[in-house]
Amino acid sequence: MDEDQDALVAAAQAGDSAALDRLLRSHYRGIYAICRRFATAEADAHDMTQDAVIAIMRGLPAFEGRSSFKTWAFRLTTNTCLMELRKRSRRPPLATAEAQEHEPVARGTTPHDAAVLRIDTDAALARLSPEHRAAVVLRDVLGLEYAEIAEILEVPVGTVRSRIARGRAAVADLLVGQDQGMTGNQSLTDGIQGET
Amino acid sequence: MSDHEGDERSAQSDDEVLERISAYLDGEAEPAEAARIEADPALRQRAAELAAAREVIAAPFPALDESSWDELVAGARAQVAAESPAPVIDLRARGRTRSLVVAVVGVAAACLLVVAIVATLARRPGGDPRPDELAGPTSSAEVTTTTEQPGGVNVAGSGTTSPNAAADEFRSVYSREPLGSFADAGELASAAARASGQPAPPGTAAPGDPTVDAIARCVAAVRRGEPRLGRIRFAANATYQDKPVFVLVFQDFGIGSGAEPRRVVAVGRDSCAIAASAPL
Repeated sequence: MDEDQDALVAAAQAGDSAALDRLLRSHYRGIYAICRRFATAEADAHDMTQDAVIAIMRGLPAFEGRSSFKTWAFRLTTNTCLMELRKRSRRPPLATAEAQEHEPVARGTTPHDAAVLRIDTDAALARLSPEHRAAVVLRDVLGLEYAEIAEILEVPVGTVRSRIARGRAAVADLLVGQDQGMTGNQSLTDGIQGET
Repeated sequence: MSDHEGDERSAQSDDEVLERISAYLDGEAEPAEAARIEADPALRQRAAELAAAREVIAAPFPALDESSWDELVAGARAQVAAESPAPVIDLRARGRTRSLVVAVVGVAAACLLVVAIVATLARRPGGDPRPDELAGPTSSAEVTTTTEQPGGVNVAGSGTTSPNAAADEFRSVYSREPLGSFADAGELASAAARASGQPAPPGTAAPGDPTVDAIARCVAAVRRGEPRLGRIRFAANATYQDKPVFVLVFQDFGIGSGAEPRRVVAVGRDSCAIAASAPL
């Protein structure tokens, strides 16, 4: 499989457009999944996915194979999504009324019950900072190992571990309505306080 | 220890515990750590909460269908293609360079023609021309510069002959069948005469054939040095005296008689310098 990918990459870099199509198609589910979970809405996800594919096409001639194509493509995809989120973060923050739509489902609800209810994943992920969202999406949506996530995000494994933990904790606190969790329009940019 | 230091130490511990529980869920915890979490009700509760959060994050969503993906890729490809800058060609520099090359080639061709005339005039007594002599024009009357020719044939003296026009002109007469290898100009001329009398084999030259472009460049160069040469009738590759050449058969308006006066010219493929020239 690696040899096939290497051959496809070489052919695509040489201008073989069929090879490029096959190469992209072999990773399109992962590319879309990253964008879908960053975008929090399907229409935006399509735009982000196309932006990611454009970034991959532009960067392919300079790809040197130091990492796998998959890692490199996911890195470009994640960076594209992060840039888009940063652009959007310059917009005015959510008004209080809107923020209240994302209040925890119910106090005292067990974690299992909360999970089986129709919890809005997009809303939950929207509460995370882009960096934490990237880490939990790559782990919990794509199932990547910590080391690969570290390579994609270009951070140490310890940072990946920390971001995953804090991202999950933020979503968990949202679900069960913990006092020290995320409510309203708080974000993780300043960190989560410890539990009592 | 101050309250502040105590709070900081507690916060760090809580973060570390959180990371360990999260890593435990991912199968990344050491066995001893996993056992501690499983034995502690509070830690088990927190692990359950994080696991529920993980389920929410991993909730399925409608996948992108393949046709949507194809459209998306096509759009991306179009955008990337539109961004590619067109090559910038400095026409002034190109023009200067081309003019210089053409001038040099023209001078070289003219010099060879003079050499041919001199060699012919200095022919050995009673002798046939030496095999390597150029059978050029026997008198200067044949060397004329004309600006108009019957049939409106493209002639160098009538103006600039662009390589593109030459390429179009002789694509239909270019033969991909090599003419052969020759040491003698006469034999080369005979072979060219025979070949040029035949219809061109099918599929001789495709548009954009690099060999055709190379020939076009040499044709333009030859015409600048040989203004009487008209339409090209035949073109092929050959080897002359161990060197690769293009063999070109031109209509020759400088030759006085003959139903269809022609001249065969062999030019070096790399230099476009005339290696041999003979009337047909």
